[in-house]
Amino acid sequence: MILNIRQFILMLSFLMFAACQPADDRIEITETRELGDFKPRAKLNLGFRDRVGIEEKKPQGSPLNNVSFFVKLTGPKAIVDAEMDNFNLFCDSLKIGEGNPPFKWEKPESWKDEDQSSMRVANFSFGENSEGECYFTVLAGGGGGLVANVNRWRKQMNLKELTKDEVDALSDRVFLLGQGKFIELEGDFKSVGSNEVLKNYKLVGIILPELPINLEK
Amino acid sequence: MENSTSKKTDKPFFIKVYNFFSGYLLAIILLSFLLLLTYFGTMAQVEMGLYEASEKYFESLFLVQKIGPVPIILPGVYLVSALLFLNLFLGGLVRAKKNWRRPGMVIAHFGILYILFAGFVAFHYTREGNMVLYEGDRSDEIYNLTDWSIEISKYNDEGEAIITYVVGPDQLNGLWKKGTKRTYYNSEIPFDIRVSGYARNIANGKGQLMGLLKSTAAKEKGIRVVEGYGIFPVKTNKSMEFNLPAAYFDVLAKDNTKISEGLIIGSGPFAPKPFTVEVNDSTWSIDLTREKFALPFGIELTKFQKEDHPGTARAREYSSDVIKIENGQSAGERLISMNQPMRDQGYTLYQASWGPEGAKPGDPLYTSLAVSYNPADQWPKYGTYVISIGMTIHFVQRLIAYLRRSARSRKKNKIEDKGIGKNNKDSIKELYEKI
Repeated sequence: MILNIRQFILMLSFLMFAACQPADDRIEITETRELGDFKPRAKLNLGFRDRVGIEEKKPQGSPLNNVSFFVKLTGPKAIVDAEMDNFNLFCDSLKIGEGNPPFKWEKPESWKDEDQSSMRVANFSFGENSEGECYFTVLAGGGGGLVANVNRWRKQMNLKELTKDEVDALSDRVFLLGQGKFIELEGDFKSVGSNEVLKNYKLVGIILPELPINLEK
Repeated sequence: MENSTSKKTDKPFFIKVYNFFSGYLLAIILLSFLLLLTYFGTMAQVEMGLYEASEKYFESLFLVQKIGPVPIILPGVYLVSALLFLNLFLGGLVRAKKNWRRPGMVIAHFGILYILFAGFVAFHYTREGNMVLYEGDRSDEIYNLTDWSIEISKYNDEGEAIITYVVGPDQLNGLWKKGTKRTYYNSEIPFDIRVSGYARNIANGKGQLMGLLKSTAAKEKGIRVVEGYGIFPVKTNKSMEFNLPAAYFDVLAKDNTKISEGLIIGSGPFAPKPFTVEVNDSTWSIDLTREKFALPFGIELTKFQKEDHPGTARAREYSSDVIKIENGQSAGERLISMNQPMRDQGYTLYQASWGPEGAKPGDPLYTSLAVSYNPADQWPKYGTYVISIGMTIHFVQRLIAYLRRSARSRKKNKIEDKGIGKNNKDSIKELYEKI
């Protein structure tokens, strides 16, 4: 009744061999599933983040925040047109430097320094009677976002608002740390908080929205 | 003696095998293994959790058990049960002396075989899942809490899935071993799908995706980046339902050129958001999802009721008023409560839990129904009845036989007693006459 050891090992080996799974890495799908009548409808054509539901979290209270950069030049159209080279010079010279806020730039010779403020990191005026102004602003957070800011400027120039697609179609311009949107508007300018409407004005600016940067550096 | 030994060794190999598989020795070995494996499997649940311990000890053919630092290969309960079935069948039914005047033991053995067979059917054919419904919701699909599958669906122009191919849990089994890749194909699907880097879990206990890395971090660790992210496995949770798997996949044309690649993370059952791919002007989706089954009827939750213990937010009792839906029509109202499941067409719907956790008074609540379809659901009960009948017949017959033997023995003693009495009488008479 008792098997000898050789026979037992032979039988055990056979059982172990039978238990092994095939090593083939190509497997045929043979199963289909009956679909329920009340099955939830799948959302198709989503990117990975939307599929998984990943939201970009902004750290609260951290010095590392999303920051938006604005440079804006306004004035009578003729004067602004004449200052475009200086505008380009100033924009191209803007760099991350020392200090707080940590920026450095090159001031065009004909421009006059004006008082800086919490909103205006660099502030200049130009023209015979200082009719034109140019300033550089840094805002923590999105500052309302690109579309809102473009339309805020357009409203100042008494122009109708643009849609997101129209804003996205605006030309890009390399500025500071990335690719910003270049805005060029002509119209009747009404400054924030002022009731005076200035005719035949021009606004030129660049908006670089929501770039992660350490402001305390 | 010599003759009997040589007779034993002269038996053909087949007879020896038959004798071994039908013998008491194998039965004792197998029952000892069952005892040992039940002990190891029960103790392992503390460390491994119920699912993994069951998989390792009770659903396997072989396993490696470490006793101290020494690894030992043991047969799994699945193999032991299969051998025990064979042993009982051969030994208890085929080889056993069948005395049809005493059928009890044959019936009892048949009952044990029936229970073992019920275990086999239940293991292979049971469908278990959950259904979650808010009031007013309808569903006719259940999803498995622990087993995952990859579903490849084809859509019509209206964006409705018309057919779903399933790479089931068995076909995914072992894919998580490091470096394993598998290509799944079907002649009706115009592409093959190669799955790699399968991680059984990428989430921690709080549901945070710890195993999902942004491209920079993934590249630093030398992890493949697809769709801007990389994945790596994190420790699996003891409760398998809390694990969230993920995998890379490549969509390959039939000539093996790559059409697309993606990253799939285990998705929820309520609003599927699968990876979409257009191949040959048709829309297909690929989703890693909990294994789903359709029910032959639908359920609509009309009212969920919960009664808390006084002064607490702990539920004392909860129940679901549902409507069974068949062919789009109401087929009757039913109540499912904690001790009153709904049974229909082989399916049993239990009141399992409710949610969402931490809901405030007035918040909408959902009911969670555990659904089970087990063709062998009642078989162990019937098997127990059969064993009881067999044992009863056997013991009653033994009792009757004992009583008969006792009666015979008493009668014999009585007759002998009478004989002794007569002899004594005669002897006294003889003695008296002599005097």
